[in-house]
Amino acid sequence: MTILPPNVSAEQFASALRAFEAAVGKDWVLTSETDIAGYRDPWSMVRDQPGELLPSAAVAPATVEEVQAVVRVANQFKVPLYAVSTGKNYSYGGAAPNVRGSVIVDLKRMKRILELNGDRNFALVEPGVTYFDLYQEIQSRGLKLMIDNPDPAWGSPSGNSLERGVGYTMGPYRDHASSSCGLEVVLASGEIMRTGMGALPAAETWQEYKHGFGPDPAGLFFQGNFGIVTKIGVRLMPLPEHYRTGKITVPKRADLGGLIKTVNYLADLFMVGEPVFSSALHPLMKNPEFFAEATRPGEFNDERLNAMAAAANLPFYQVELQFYGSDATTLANWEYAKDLAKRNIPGCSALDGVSYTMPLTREQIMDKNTPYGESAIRRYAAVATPNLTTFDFIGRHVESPDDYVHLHYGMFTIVPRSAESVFQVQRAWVDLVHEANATLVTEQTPRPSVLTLPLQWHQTCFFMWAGFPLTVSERPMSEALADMLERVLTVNAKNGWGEYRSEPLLQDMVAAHYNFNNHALRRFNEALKDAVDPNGILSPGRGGIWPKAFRSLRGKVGS
Amino acid sequence: MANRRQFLGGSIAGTALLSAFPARAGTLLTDSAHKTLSHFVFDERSIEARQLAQDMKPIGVTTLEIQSDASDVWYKKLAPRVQAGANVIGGLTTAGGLFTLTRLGFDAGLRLALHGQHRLFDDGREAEHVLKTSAIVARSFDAALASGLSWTSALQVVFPDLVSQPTADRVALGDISSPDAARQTTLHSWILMPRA
Repeated sequence: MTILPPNVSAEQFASALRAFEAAVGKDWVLTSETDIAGYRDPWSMVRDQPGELLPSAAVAPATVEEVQAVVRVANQFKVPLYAVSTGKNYSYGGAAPNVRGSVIVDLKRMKRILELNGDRNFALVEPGVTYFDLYQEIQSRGLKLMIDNPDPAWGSPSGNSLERGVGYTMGPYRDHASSSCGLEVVLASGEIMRTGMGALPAAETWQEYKHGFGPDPAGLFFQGNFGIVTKIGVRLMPLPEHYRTGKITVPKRADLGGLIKTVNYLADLFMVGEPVFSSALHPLMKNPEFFAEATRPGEFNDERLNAMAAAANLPFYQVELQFYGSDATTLANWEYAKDLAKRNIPGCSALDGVSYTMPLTREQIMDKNTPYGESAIRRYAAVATPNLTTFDFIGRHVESPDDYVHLHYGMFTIVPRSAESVFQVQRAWVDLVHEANATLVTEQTPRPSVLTLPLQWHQTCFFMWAGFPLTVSERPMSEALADMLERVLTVNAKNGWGEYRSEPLLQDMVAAHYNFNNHALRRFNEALKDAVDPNGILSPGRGGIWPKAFRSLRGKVGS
Repeated sequence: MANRRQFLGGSIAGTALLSAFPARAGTLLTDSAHKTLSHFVFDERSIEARQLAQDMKPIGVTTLEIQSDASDVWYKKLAPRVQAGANVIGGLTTAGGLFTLTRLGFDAGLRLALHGQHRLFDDGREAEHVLKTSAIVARSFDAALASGLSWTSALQVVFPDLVSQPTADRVALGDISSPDAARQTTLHSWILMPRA
């Protein structure tokens, strides 16, 4: 089946392909069925449907000059491009473009680590450099540096940062967009631009001061479609000597307030890494009475819930804290954290976790048990060891469908770092599921309940996750499910909770809620887009930003 | 008697890793006359996969074991060898192993030339097989089974058969696998070869 870009005839496309071949070499223009299959989203909710977001071809440039040439060809033939670095973010559509028939610009061949500085703690990399590559290079040079990788780690610092992906170590590094420093971009005109200190040709601070002088347009290239990033600076955490964990537990539901207050203080003083919130009460969900109370619509009965937790001799909520530094400093920080928690929540308990010299051994990484029992910390990622264990679940039998989200659209909803907000989300999602009589899976729980807790991947806000289980055989997504998705987004938006990221199929739906002052943000972005990309050839529709030439496709992605 | 679903608890995963994507285009495209099955990846949690790996060794194939994480094997062992010219890799793994290795192989210019799904049953029923590959190789597999060979022995027959074909169709990367039903395990046989 031949797919063409919109408004491009077969003859024009054939000419465009020949021009792409002249730009990157015949071997690097991919059009066969088996080649195109490599760019399909294996988790697509519309797989095999007429609207599946398939490319027409892929081109793989090896140099910035080739990227420029590709962009010039795209402008000449009005062919939409969709740039990917490794194209492996299958939680968000992988390499699937917003516009069916786009030509993928596969940047995997651009794999140079241009600079890696172990004293000033940064790297400058091309888009095809993966977290595995960077990790290996650091090891082979014997540098005392740590990456902060997402899980799985076969993506790239470039792609992940530009999508505002997150990791699992210390706060400033977990936010990959914020810890990036300096971009080189090929614009729609084919010109190269550098942001920050990169605009000063002799500067050696490109990866040390990101703002440069005057307005900083770097943000336009994150979740945007204003250019193709060909180099990115990445700030790197120095490898600490020691890693330590501890757990604070609280007996009552309302204690979450004191717990979050404690964690916020420690996190914002940069004393702890990723705080991992959880509850020990999950086994009680098999108890029909507890389940009913934990998922009660309207209002939770805290007194009853607390009593049941106490009867089971289990704390209500807990947080695992992670410390990086020396043996002495991590111990001192943990002692301080315990003291602070006690002052904020007199009834809390504190339990020592692991204490390891860095780097950890394989056995230490794999050992899920700690002195305080099983840990919810992704230890691989917490100690920056890239891996692909996540995919071991594929095809495995699971006893309970609730334990396994096979296909999903996952919403990571941005929520303030307060117990009040967490309780509001619990309330809103529990009520929604009851009203809609539908399913919504949340982090650690098969449905929203008082046990639905935040992720603190970002330094200064919570993400709360909800998604829909879908199996391969249940595609395409049903209307009922699509309706539920819109309902969740609407309830969230009404409460001021937005998505931090989304897949192409749903970006328009998410972007539509960021509509302050009659969509002023979108109108601003689209005015800029039309100015710098008049043919609209760079990833049209990405982030909900539609250039004039493709604006009629808004709201129709995947249909 | 060993249970077919002899998957070991826990998992062992990768440590340091190497770049996967060859730096130069010339290393990716290889004359089909020079194809050699050089490496065989097996999931050591599976008895069948371990057995097939054992049977591969005497014919000079380097066997590489994985469990829950294929990244160590890919980045430390396979990727450098692909870069150095190794151009045919086979495997018998879980769906997760297939998923990760075929996509990493794709980045290195390799494509699937065979994908077999082998559904095994704990209750002793005959295994069921679906083989996506060139017709001649698929017939060879069926003939080997019909002659009384076990399915892993049949794979041992077809792997070199496929490699020796002057040309071979490539199989598109498929959809992700549905979860196995209770008391069933699906293993995946596969061969990666250079782009046709």
